[in-house]
Amino acid sequence: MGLLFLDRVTLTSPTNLVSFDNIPQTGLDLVVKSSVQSSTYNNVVMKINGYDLSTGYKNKVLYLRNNPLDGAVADPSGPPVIYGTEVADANTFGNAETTIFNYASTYTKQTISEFAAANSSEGLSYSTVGISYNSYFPAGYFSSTAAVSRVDFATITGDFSTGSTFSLYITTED
Amino acid sequence: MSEIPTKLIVDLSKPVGERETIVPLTAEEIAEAEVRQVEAEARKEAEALALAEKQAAKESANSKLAALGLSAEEIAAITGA
Repeated sequence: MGLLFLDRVTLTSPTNLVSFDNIPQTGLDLVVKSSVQSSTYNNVVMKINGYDLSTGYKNKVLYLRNNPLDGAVADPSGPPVIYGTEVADANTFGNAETTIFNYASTYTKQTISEFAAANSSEGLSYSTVGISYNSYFPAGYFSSTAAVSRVDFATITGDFSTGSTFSLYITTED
Repeated sequence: MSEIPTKLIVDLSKPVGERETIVPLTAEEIAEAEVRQVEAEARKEAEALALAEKQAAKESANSKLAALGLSAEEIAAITGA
């Protein structure tokens, strides 16, 4: 199985929403690697085919942090938080790889998995009350059998900072 | 959020170099963003309350264990703190 590069964007100005549209339907799985930061502790939400995942999306999240060392599993009840970003810092980004399996299929519900981590000891900011997690592993499914041709990423508050990047790939049989 | 919120559209049906367009958010998208922000604030308050309650329960439990004669090390050993 190979990973075919489709595109990469680097934000040149603060941007609230990044949308990949008319995604080729020739791959097996859709993979988005992102490295983002925001002007404040923040979270990222994803939309599929223009639909907010606040309805029809079921997921569980495993959080891990180093200090204190612990882990927790949560069943998020809020909006479909995909991963946290980080406070604005020239060297600090929230990094994540998000996979939508069988994205071109019209027979299966869209299953999404992700792992995310920040390149600082502060970790990702899933919680807006100051709890940071070094690693964040959400997985779930979206109750839609429509093939995925568009994915959007947005911050809950504010913008993605300049320098944030999004790279899009598809997996292939070759 | 910047003064005029924008979105970057990457249209993968177009040739490389012609794919990216930056446009202002629509009124509907701005409204969605505002809803997300309000929901985040509500969740923040709920999380803060839950965290405070959990911390209070932990402190209460530790106090009761100490009153039974357990040392701080023994309490840490059984609570994993």
